[in-house]
Amino acid sequence: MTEGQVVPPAASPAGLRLNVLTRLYPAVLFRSPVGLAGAAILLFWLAVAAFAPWIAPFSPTRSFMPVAPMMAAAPGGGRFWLGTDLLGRDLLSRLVWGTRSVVVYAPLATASAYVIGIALGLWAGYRRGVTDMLLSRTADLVLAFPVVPLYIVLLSKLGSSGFNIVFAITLSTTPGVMRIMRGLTLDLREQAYVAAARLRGEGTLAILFLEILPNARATLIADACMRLGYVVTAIGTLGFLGMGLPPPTPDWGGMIEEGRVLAILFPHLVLPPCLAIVSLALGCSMLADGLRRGEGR
Amino acid sequence: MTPRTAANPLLRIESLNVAYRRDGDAVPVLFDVSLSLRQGEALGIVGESGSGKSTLAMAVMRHLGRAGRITGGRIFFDGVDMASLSARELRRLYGARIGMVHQDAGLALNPSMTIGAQLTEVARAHLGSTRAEASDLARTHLRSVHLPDVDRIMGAYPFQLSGGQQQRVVIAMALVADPSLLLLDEPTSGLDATTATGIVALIRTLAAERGMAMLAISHDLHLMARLCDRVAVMYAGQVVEENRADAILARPGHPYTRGLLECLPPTSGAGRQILLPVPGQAPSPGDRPAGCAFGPRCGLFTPDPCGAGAISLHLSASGGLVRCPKAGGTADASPVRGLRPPGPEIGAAPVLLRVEALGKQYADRTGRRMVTANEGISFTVRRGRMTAIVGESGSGKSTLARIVCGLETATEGRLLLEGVDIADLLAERRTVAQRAAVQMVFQNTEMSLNPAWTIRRQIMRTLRAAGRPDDMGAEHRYAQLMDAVRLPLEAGERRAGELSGGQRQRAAIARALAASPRILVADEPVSALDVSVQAAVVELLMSLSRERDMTLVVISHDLPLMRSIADDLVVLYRGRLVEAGPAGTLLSAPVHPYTRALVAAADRPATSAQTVPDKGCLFAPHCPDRMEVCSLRAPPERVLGQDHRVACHLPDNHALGAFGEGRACHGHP
Amino acid sequence: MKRIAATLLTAVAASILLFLLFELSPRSVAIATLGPFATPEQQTLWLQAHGYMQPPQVRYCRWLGHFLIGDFGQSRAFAAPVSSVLWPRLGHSLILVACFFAITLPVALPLGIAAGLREGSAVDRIVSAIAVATSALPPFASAVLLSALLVTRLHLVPGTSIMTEGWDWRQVVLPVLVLVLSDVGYLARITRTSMAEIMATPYIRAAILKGMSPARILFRHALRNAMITPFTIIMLQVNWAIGGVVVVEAFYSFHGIGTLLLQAALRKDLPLLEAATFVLVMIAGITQMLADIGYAFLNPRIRLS
Repeated sequence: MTEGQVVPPAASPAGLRLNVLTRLYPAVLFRSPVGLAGAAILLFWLAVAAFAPWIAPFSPTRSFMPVAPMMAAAPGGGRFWLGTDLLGRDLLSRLVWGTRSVVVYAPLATASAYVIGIALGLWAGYRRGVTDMLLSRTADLVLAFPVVPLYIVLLSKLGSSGFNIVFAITLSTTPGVMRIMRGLTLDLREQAYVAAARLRGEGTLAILFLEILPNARATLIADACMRLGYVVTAIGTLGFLGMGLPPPTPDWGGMIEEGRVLAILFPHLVLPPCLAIVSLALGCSMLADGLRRGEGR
Repeated sequence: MTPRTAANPLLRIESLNVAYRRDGDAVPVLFDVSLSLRQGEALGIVGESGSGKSTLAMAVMRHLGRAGRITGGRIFFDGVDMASLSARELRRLYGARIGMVHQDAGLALNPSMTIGAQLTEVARAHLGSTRAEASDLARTHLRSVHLPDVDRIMGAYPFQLSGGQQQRVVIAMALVADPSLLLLDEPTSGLDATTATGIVALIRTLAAERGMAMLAISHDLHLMARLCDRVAVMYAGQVVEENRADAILARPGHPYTRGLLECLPPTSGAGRQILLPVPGQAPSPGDRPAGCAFGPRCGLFTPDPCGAGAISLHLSASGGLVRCPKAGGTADASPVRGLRPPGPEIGAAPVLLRVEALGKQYADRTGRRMVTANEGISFTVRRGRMTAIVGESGSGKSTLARIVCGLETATEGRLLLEGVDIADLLAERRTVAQRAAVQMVFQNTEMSLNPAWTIRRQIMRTLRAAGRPDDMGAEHRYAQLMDAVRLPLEAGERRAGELSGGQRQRAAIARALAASPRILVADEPVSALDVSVQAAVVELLMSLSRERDMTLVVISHDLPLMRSIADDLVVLYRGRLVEAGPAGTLLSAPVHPYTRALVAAADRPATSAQTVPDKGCLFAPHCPDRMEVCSLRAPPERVLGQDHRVACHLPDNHALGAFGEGRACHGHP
Repeated sequence: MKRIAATLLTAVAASILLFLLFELSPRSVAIATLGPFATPEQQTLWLQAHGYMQPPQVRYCRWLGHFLIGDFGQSRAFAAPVSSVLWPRLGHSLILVACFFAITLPVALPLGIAAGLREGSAVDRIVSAIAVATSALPPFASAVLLSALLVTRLHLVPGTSIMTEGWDWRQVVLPVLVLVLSDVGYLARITRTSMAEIMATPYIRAAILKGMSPARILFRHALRNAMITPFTIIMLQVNWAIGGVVVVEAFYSFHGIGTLLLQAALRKDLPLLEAATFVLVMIAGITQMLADIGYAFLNPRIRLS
């Protein structure tokens, strides 16, 4: 019978190349200059955070002279490249050290929201029915609170601390993640490969984490980058509203808040931390954009 | 069919070349296509996916999108070079002189505009009609496509109509401005066989009445032959054969055309013939081999004339044009297809699976109403006899398959697997043996394999789950399985996205086989595949079933295909059993009027009415032999012979008599 | 009907959450009201006098009852009834939001539509670039940047919006501009994506091949379907825009509900904090309800089934 002949192994070389690329994220990124630039920005800030003690010229809490302009000479030698704040602390050093809190808390809050949101979303989407209804209604309820007022209410009740900031942001971010995961799960659970897994007797956990989750990965990773950007700005917003990390810990948002009163007269007090937050958030947003475009091709 | 102005064709395509831009490269998709169409004539273009047939249609309309470009050749419509027309002039052509019937009518209608608005705007734009005139014209055309209750349809939104009705609306829309050319893009895709038959007849009548020329595009050679006067077969961006419709079916000149015909089940009741697959698969655009594009798949291929250079069209023995240097030789005679050996006798085959009064109800989306997917279905699957479950969309056949496999549970009735009732056991709750005994192959080849994992991993997991822990044994059995489905071992290291549709389906079959099932349920296993690949998968399933003592249960809407492979048939209509029994009996002497209609695929009113009777026989509104009792009581199920059951009020002899009354019937001349 | 019920349910649930968070423990209320230096006896006396010794469910019902008739209690920070402080402030904020929408929509929607109509064109690229850039621009950052430019450098507008001498439109310019800047790109991008999707649908192709004019295709065939997503997003954005309003008001010392909320939180003025939060949740809930109704209006499939 002619049917015995083996068909050529790959659909086409072009098709093969495309498929390998969509699986390997770095490769996807290299096709998108925007995404690449985003990744570079993130790496830059990571490096700043890691090498803060070597980059920062002074201690972030040591007081020199108040409101020195940019490039002013420091009393003990060296320069205040970005000037000093109202309490006479070196702005560049505070900026550099402040990177650490953002680089720790933003990914921490995003990751915890993702872990919880993914687990709940998978569960709600796969179980459907009452489980889904309860979880979705709860998520709707949390989402019904405007985000910033929610932070204000929570942090004024609980008090500002690193842990509470992560908690508040996780609480407000999780429902969104859950919704996305639930939607993906509702779709993916109907795919034939899930049915095939059930027919070979895979357990629910194996189906959720081995059959469904890997196929949601592309969407989730791009979404996570985007949300990381939001969390960076949220932490900045909290600092700006006076609900960020308690002083004297250097914190970008807090630096803006402290300099806000004199910002009209001395923009250099607020511009650097502001640009830092924007660049970090922009990096996340560009990375997400690059990943999405790479996927979409 | 008689040309009015033979010298001046309505549409003339002269050595057309089209390329698409992709990643900066120009990928040619059409090569040197020349066709012409006289006024009032119907030309059908047949080709598989990637053959360039849709590109050809869009090139005729000069609507190729940003990526596509005509790189050579010209198109004349009514003597005017299409390339010379401005956008405004083109708009005056579209809808007015060239009407288009789109594929998937449901998507071609604007979801937020009423049908009336979408029809009248054509008349108002092209004929300058007033609002009232346009509305009258729209109603006239809706009536001309035999739509009932025109007033309701004018005010309806597309989603309120059935698929068949949507298709009729799209046809009416194309006709409003009385065009001289009708372009049809897969005019029956997505429609049930009986609905499609009605649509084809309707289009033919309308075109004949108006003396309208047609250019139709489809993957279905038989459909094109029924609809058109002439047929052109396309392969890899070229016309490989062009001839009169009857001649192309009777004496195909090109090996590809011949292959297409041989891998299709016979239309006439010529018995259970073995299908002859075309080996390999069509090249993707940009990967065309030099010389004859069909060469790598052709049995007649020789390097000298075939692989040497471009092959030109020449006159074939049957009076058409053919692009093959070997055509006209002895090879023109079609090889005789062998007959398929029948399954074991009913008496000799033990019962493997018995379905007794099975029913499935579930709550609809709002949770308020109960929907009945299956009700009172009984039939028997015997070991070694291939059972086909046939029905139109909405007949509940897929739900039935899912219940048998344990993906859903039945809400009533019994499902006896070798005497043990498993009707309310989900796959998760069946024993390892029960679960392994019934495995499934799915319709959508793209999603039946997990895109995240390699083929090998998925098959190995199934092997291990079936209770063979030692790796060496599993490794060995994996190699055996890949060999059994004729996939090279390196294909196992790939993921689904890197394989072709046919290969994916083979891999899915291998995965199902890994559990060593005694029953393999295949839900539309080939309907998502290209025609020339279908036959190979069908024959693979048949031979595996024989070699491995595995009983096949195939779910399908494709009765011609099922009739060439099935031993037993189960016919469903709107979730109820209509008739079940040995294929031979059902096909030669169908008892139920619906079975008769299916077998005949005769023209009859669309069965897609919105209202389903709430009692009595669900088929009654469409039944030619309807009696008073039919709309009052549900028909009783009667057993007519061994394994032969029917649910109908008609007495047996009447049914048999009615069948002989000369109803239109392709199947039994 | 179902929508209204859902909104009410959300409101009730939100009120329960607020109650649990702030009012459940009477002792903490007493501390918040009397200050940390009150003796336990004083606290108990105060609690008895204000009915805090009853079981929580009774207190909740009474508390909610007061809320529903608009009696939010006495603000400690302002030494005045909460409602007399709250409503004028809300009015100020609504003017801000109205100006924001009045500028954002006419800018973002046409830009998005133009970009979506011609995917890959210059307009499209510019809109996408602006969208990526501004989506990373939180309100406080654009406030800093705009102030540095318009106030410090160009002296065009005042840098604060305290409005000590009555209403002054010039003081609204900056806050509104900041809000617009932080949202216009995002909305344009959503519109663009939606429009591009619709233009690629078979029914738009069918309309083109029916010979319809470009204008008719845009306005009659595409626009209504393309507006479904942006409309939903605009309404969902209210939730997010409230956050922007809080930040902007804080930055420019604008006397709106945002600064009120912030002051209440910093001064632990519980009645004011609860009332302001509750009102904001209600506003979010009502816009959500309007979004659903509007969605049904745009989508006949939802409307008719």
